[in-house]
Amino acid sequence: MAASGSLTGELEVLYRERYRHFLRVATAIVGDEPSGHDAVQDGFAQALRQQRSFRGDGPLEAWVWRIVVNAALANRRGGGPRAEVAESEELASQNGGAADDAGVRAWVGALPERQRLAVYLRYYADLDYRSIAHALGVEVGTVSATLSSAHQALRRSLQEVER
Amino acid sequence: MIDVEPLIVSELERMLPLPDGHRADWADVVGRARGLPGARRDGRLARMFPARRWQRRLLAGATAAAVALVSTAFAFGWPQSLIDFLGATPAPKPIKNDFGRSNVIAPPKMSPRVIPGQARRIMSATWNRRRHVLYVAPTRSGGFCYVWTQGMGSCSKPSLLLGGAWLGSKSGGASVVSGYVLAGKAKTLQARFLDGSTARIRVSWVSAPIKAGFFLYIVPGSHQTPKNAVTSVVALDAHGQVVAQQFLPVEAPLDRQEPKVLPDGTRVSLSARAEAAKAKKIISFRASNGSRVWLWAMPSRGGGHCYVYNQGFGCIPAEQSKQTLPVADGLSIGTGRVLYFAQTTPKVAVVELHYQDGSVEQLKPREGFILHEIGPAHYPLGHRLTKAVGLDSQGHLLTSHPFTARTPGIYPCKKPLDRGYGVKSCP
Repeated sequence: MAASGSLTGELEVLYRERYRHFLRVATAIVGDEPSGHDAVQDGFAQALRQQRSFRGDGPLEAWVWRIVVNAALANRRGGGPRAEVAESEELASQNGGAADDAGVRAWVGALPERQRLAVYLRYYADLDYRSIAHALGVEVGTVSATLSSAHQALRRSLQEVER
Repeated sequence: MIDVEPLIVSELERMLPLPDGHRADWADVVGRARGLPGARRDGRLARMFPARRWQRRLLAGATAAAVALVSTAFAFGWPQSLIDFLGATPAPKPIKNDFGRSNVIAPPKMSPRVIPGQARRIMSATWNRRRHVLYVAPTRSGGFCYVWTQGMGSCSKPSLLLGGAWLGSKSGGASVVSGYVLAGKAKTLQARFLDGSTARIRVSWVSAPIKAGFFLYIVPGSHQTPKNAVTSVVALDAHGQVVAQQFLPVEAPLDRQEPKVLPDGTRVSLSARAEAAKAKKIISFRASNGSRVWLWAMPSRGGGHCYVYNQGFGCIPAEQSKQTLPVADGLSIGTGRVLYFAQTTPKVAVVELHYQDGSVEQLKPREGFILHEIGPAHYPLGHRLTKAVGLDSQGHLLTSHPFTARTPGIYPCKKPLDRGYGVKSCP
């Protein structure tokens, strides 16, 4: 992936091919599709404006995911991107706690935000661990541990129901 | 350990299916990047562009998409029409649920990981005077699953360039053959018949993320008999060389299944080679839920023997009887009971069933068969079957193999778990 020169063409291709996945993740974050669409549009617009800051040390798509996720978080919070996911390394340290309900919906709702973002990127965007790591600004091992602990939380809640 | 991933995938899919792309608007993105007034938040297209300019852009976009699709077709070397998967009609909810069910009912680690929300209607065909529709859905592993309504279906395997399924005809040959061929080397498909003749099979190619062709071949009546039936479907490359082959069995009339009546008047479905009138009742008992359990054995035309019990039947040709494993067994489930069924060789004097709680049951084969109820005490985790051991008359070990205690859906329970897509099963 070229780290210099115009990325406009590549961003447009990425947008056209993956818009629906970006929209799904953004919608999951903000809670409704129109706002999710706004977050995707804003995120890609920001990517267009800031394309020179793409260093090429990871996939372009992961870089865009990071921007779109931040745009969605900012949109949901009704302010600027105060809680950038890129700065956090707390992912693996949080176990999420067992959901108080067997449902996956309850489980997702009970996850700490960053675990939830990892789940969205894994299952809604179909990203591999490396891309999720780039998108969330953490190490690959952290993503692995995050998803593993999220799975563990669900497994525990299911086992509690079995008993 | 519970494999939660299929549950997560299917439930997340239910919570938020992949949205359609009607809102996608690259021009709006560019407008926002340039800070154009009206482009932000409620930046509807009508505000951004005057109608004619918008229409021109739409037309240009559609043309670009069409050119891209044609280019893709050329890139794959696809000689025939290409169906744009992402542009195809989304599957109705019942079909998506069917795909979803295949994820949740699969045995552990065998889920196809299909993405039900992305299922699309691909094409339709008529056979047996019924209209059938082909639906295809991508999987998370990069493959796809497909299903013909009221017909055949399967999932792709990366190692299998060509996959197929078929319906048998009354006369023994296949009557309908369907399947897929992965895009790449294969350029054409051909049906090959026992009499040496061939016929070209039309393929409908489907774009990314499927990247495969689908076919449905209705076998002419003249080729549905055992003498000139379809024996294989082959994929040929651009030079006419075979790059993949799917063989189709030609079913001998004796192998067909047909209704039979046992000596006590019980009606069963059995292989045509089973001599039901000579059947002998080997095992009969009442299960814990009050139902009657029985097993009959009988000679088979052409040698060997056949058997039938409440939940299954089979025939073992004479030449295979000599090669049978000491204990060929399995669990048979249904109607609120769990049965252990086994065929044994004459050397096997006892089969021991070992359970998680340390208890052991010793079973003696009757004329080479065991049919035994796993009682309700062994339904809960911690008490389930873990191992079957075959011993000879001296107590020497002949065979031993494990049973997985955590396979869901085997043992009855009071509170089945909702696994999504209408599937409830016990852990």
